[in-house]
Amino acid sequence: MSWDQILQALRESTQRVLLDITQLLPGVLALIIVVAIFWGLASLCAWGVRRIMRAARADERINRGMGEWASSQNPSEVVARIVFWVLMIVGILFGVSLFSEASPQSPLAAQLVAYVPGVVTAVILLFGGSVVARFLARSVLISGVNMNLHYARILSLGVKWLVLVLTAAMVLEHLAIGGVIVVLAFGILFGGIVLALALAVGLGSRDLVSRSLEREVARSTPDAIEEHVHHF
Amino acid sequence: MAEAELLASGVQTAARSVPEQAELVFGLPSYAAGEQGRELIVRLAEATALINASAALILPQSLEVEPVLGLPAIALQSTAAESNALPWLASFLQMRSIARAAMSLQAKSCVILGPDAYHLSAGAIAAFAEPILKSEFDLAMPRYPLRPAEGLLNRGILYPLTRSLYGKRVHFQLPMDAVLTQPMMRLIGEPPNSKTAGSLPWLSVEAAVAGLRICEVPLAVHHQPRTDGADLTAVLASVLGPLFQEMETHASFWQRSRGSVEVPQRPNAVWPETKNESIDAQRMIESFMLGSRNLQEIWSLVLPPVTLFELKKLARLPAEQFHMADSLWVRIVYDFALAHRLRTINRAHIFGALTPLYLGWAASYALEIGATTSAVADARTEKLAAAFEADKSYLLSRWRWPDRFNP
Repeated sequence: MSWDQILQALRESTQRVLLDITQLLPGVLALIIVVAIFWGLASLCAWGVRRIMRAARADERINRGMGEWASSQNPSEVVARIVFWVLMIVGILFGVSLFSEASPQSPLAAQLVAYVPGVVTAVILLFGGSVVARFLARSVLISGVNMNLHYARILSLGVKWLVLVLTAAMVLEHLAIGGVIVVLAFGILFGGIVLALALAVGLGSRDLVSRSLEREVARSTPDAIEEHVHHF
Repeated sequence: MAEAELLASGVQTAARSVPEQAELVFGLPSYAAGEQGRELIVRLAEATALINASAALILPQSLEVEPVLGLPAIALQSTAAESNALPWLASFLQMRSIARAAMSLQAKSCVILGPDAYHLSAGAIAAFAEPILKSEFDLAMPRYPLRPAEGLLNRGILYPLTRSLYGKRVHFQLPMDAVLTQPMMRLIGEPPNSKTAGSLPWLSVEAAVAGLRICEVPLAVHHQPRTDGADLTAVLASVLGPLFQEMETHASFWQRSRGSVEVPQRPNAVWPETKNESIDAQRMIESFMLGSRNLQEIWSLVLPPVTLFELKKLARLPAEQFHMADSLWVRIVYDFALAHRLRTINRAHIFGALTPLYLGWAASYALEIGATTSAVADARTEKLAAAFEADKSYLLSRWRWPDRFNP
């Protein structure tokens, strides 16, 4: 192979890459423009919704009607955010679809379009998982403390990490990272934790657990210390 | 009119003689048939004779309603909220249904009596209704003879908080007995809606906000709500949740109210001194310590740094020196009320996080009063209530500017 042939091959491959990039450019531009337009539209709609709800005193009415409104944000703020993000997701999906249409010959565009739904699902899963993990961890911690469990914090941490690890495994699966390895690793890790706990309780901490249980039983017997206190 | 209106208001009529109009209605939400039930009805008939008024009974739906001793009776139909409530809360919730039924009967006054009212004499029942029948007041609230270690939730939160907010010194905020006039019945007997369904009737709060006249009548009866087995966090949530909700509803009223006044007593309560048994506060202290070790992260979302620092100091004290200052407890209650309003943390978690703190206060109170008399305990409760009043400006500041005012 002569030097000219090598240069020719390099020139051709460079031209192919540049051509691919040029084919992608209109799509990328369309994607950016659409996302920008939808960002403006989403901001405008969210602002409008917030103003309308405040003008209609919706926060007070919802708070009055629903004694148990669970969010720390005002209802109008929550609705405005929902409107913003729904429009943004629609904008991104629309932009991606335009990107795909604008670059029909590019295999890179096709792969990118196919990957987007997985990314959106993964982001939602990550957000939902971390919220659920925090909520469950707090619930377990508070309940454990009020049940006088001295290991309430460990229990709470266990629940939190269990949910987070489960979420991470689901996210990686949706992002198609790791494939079977993630599932296998999660199975081994999860099974390992359960087995370790079973062995620890069954063998290592047998005496400790039995003493702890005996203490709990002794506490709940009628002959235990009577406080003579009536809270109500 | 009677039958149609009663049915429309969710009340089933008895087989016989529902009066067109009864001057006085006795509502018995916790009435149970049997010897004690019959005894109570006899007392009511005697009281009616003493008062010399036409009267009717309102009884729970579960009973076969029969006119007893000449008193016509009607049955209450429980609402969904009453049926689904914790058993000990249902009696309080039924007060609204009773008020509605009494309004349908065009009753001038309504006497609601709790499950242990059979201990009362006919004279005591008549005396309880007297201030209302004489049109001197709109609401007669009972004043019970409590032992020092009883009604701790009332002593520690309900009484002092409502007194500082609404300016009336009504000692029992969730009584099982009360006498209402028509304006009061209208206030609590509104048709069920999303706001009132399942909400506790805070009689004195509603009356204070509406500017109605309130009096207290000594009632020598000892109700013990059946809270056995109920989780303390659930009890706190079911009582304090509605009270904090009421704070939000009436914020414009209590922000203007200053100080507090005694409500008239008819006649003055004079109870024999009861001595307390010594209370072992060790388990309550342990619960507080456990909370202090584990819940700092959650408390820090609700309480300001100064309060957290005080709590840490408290947790380091040996059990025999354990003492929670009134000012600290007052701010804890105010901060949790604010957290409930702002939803700083999930409302399901608020009362769970408050439980160890409440037990800490209860332990401190128990150690302080020791084996004393009810008079000493009542004086201690008054001192705490005065501390709530004195620090009301703290609540006002935090309520109005929660972000700017955070000591």
